[in-house]
Amino acid sequence: MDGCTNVTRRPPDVTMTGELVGEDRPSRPLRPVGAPIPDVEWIERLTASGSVRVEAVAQLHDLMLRATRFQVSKMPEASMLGAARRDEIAHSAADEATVSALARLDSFEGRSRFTTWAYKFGILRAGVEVRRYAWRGRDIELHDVPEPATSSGSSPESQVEGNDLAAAVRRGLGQALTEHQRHVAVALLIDEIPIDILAERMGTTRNALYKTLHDARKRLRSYLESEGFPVDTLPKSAIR
Amino acid sequence: MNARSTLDAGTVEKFLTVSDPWLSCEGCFEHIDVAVESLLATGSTIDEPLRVHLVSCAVCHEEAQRLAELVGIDLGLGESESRRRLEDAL
Ligand SMILES: [Zn+2]
Repeated sequence: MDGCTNVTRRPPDVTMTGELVGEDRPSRPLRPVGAPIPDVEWIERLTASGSVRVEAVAQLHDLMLRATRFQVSKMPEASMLGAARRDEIAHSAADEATVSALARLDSFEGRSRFTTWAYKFGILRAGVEVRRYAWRGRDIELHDVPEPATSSGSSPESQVEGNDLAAAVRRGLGQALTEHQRHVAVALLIDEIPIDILAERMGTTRNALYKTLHDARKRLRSYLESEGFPVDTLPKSAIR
Repeated sequence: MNARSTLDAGTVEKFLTVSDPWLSCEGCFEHIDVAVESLLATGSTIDEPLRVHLVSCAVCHEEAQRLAELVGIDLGLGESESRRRLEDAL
């Protein structure tokens, strides 16, 4: 793991009676074994020095590993990988996530639990690493717009409306968008290339590509409005 | 280009998804922990810019689902109930 030599697996210095030993013994009462670490304690220990911090970083890494293993186990892209490879990815992502979280510790405001805040780093890193692995060696070509498909609407009216709209969207992609916007929109929405993979291949960022997509969608809706499609009757969301 | 490289109804809908009010992927990452935990713990709604981002950004949406499932386990709600609550809030 780059630049993170503090992530080590060292058992806590705890005696059989549950007392912490050594020079970094905190003044607060001991927590029962297995009890959640209070958020304030996470921050105190992660910003401390010496063995207290080393131990806290190892616990943070364990938390990250929980998140990365969970994410890897849920991703269809990871299902083809062997168990050893999946675990390797989960560990590598947990390493990266630990470094990221430590670098952004000051952004934790206590508005969520510390564990929830930490999980998001693990989930992000595991997702990136699995997708990167799944897309390795695969060429990505940027395409123009395909022909509209025949609508699967049930009534003749809806088929006509669907085809009209699809044809107008196709024209809009060609006329209202820049070539860059068109290529990005087609790659993300038709070819379904994950945004972080596309960003990596195009030498840009996830944020920049999402902004390009945002601008493209706005231009497309404006074009459709100018073509006489009432904007408030157009679909607004891809999920609902 | 994959087998779904056509402008079918679902694809047209993806092109027309409204992504205003604007929020970047980075902004989404910044707020997602508080939003998901508040939604699951107290039933609070998701702020509109974040809701819109999750609807219009496939990868952030998938990561939010995963976070909801994991936090849901911690809160004793279970994975599928937590995912359902997130989807309902979108
Ligand atoms: Zn996003």
